[in-house]
Amino acid sequence: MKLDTKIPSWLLERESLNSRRPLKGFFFEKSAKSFLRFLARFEEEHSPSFAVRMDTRIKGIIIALVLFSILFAKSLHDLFIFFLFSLLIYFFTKKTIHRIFPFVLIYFLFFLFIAFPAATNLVVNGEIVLPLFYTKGILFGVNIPQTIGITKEGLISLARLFLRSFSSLLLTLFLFGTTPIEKILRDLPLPSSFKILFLIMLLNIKKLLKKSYDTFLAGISRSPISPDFNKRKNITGLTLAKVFKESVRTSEEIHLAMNSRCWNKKMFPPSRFVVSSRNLFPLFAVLILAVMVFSL
Amino acid sequence: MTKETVFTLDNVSFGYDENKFVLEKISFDVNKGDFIALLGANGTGKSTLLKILNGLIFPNEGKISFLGKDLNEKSLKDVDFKFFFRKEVAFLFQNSDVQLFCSTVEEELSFTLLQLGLPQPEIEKRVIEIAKIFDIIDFLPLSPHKLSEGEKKKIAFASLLPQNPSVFLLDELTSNLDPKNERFAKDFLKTLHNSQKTLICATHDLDFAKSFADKIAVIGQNHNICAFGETKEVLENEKLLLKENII
Repeated sequence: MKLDTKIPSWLLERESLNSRRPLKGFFFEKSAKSFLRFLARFEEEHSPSFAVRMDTRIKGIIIALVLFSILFAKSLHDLFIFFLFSLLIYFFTKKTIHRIFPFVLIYFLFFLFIAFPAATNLVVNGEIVLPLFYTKGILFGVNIPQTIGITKEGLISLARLFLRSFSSLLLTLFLFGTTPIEKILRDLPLPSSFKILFLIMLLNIKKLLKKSYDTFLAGISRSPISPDFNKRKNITGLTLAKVFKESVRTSEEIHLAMNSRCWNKKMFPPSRFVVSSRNLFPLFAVLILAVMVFSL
Repeated sequence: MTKETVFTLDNVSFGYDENKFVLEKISFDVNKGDFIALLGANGTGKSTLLKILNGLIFPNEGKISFLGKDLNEKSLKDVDFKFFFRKEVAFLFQNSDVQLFCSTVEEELSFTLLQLGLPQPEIEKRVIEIAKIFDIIDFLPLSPHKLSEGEKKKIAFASLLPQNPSVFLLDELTSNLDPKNERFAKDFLKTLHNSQKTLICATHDLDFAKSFADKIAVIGQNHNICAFGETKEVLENEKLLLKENII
């Protein structure tokens, strides 16, 4: 006996679709994915290593001390010692060098375009060590040197700038590579309202990025063929609108949930400070280093 | 013996838009120790009603009182009443994501206690006790948003308990829970009910309502209470349940 189904006949037939490229990530989805990976990089692998277990406040004091010393160190020699020290501290994060490669690359590009002109005699007068090009001495009515090149003084100030800024970058990476952002925030002496606002903001950013990316994946799952550019622009626009609407709704709901749970502007107390060699040894090491460098 | 009335709703209407009510002329009493199941099809206003009962949103029309005192924006500005009300009435949101906003599960469990100003050793003691009962000790240092939906729900429920409220407003408690955790949650509700806690639970689960609730309120598709009474009596009215898309 044949079953009397109400399924339309076309649903039982096999249809072939023109194969086109499957949907690939548009800029927003790609950015969401990259940003999620970036955040995940700081969240994962907080294994209980020496640097991870060190008190956040001690880390903060060490970083402040090194930054302070870098600020006041004038000679390249002193700055180089602090740079090596920052590098040593960075290695305590136990993250292999390829982890910082993207940061270093971005940093070098930034440094090249922004700071490199400072090494020429257009900015710092001095003894030219590498002539770059020659001019007639006037450009658009402005007097400029006839020989434009990299000066010795310019190179020294460039080296100072590089050592100072790269040391700061390494110290920042050390802090974020060994301490979850939530813990940094918890131990910082900031108003509770600000802390909770920042924490919720961070949490929301992660959730919304994940949602955007999931929406994109759902799009892939439902799109055997890749839509044209305009259609993709619409999809991205709608995703953004959805994310915005969702974030407003979620924020309102979180506000209600906080009220429901007696929110009284009280934040969790900072973690207890433990007097241990893990916390005190690095602090003394930095102090001794700073004293030695400045007294020599 | 007459039971103490916890909530009294008198012709409560609510709408996000003045012209479109999500709830219309809702009236019923909730007595101490009641276990009320709120039944209704999707979008009938069950969650909204729970939010009103928790003093998070306020009716456009009608009156609501908690233990004889008006529950409105003005009364909740009274710090003592607000403190008392928030301590006594706990609300489980349908979406656990909005309820879990702290950075670790431990902080989630201690959040309300911290707001209520309990001393730190007492907070820690209660948190550990609840974590042991709910078997979530291993989750304590973890971030809630990294957990599965079922685990989040369990933690959201556990986070209501340390403050020891006397009224629980639960929005879809058993959704997303696996069978083992669902059984645990139901047994736990039974224990709470036996200890004279008042429970109001929005649900789609008729078996749950039948087994646990002593009263059922049915919110109809026209957003009003179309049946309120003893569980058996309401569930016997199959015609109404069919009409309101509940079965």
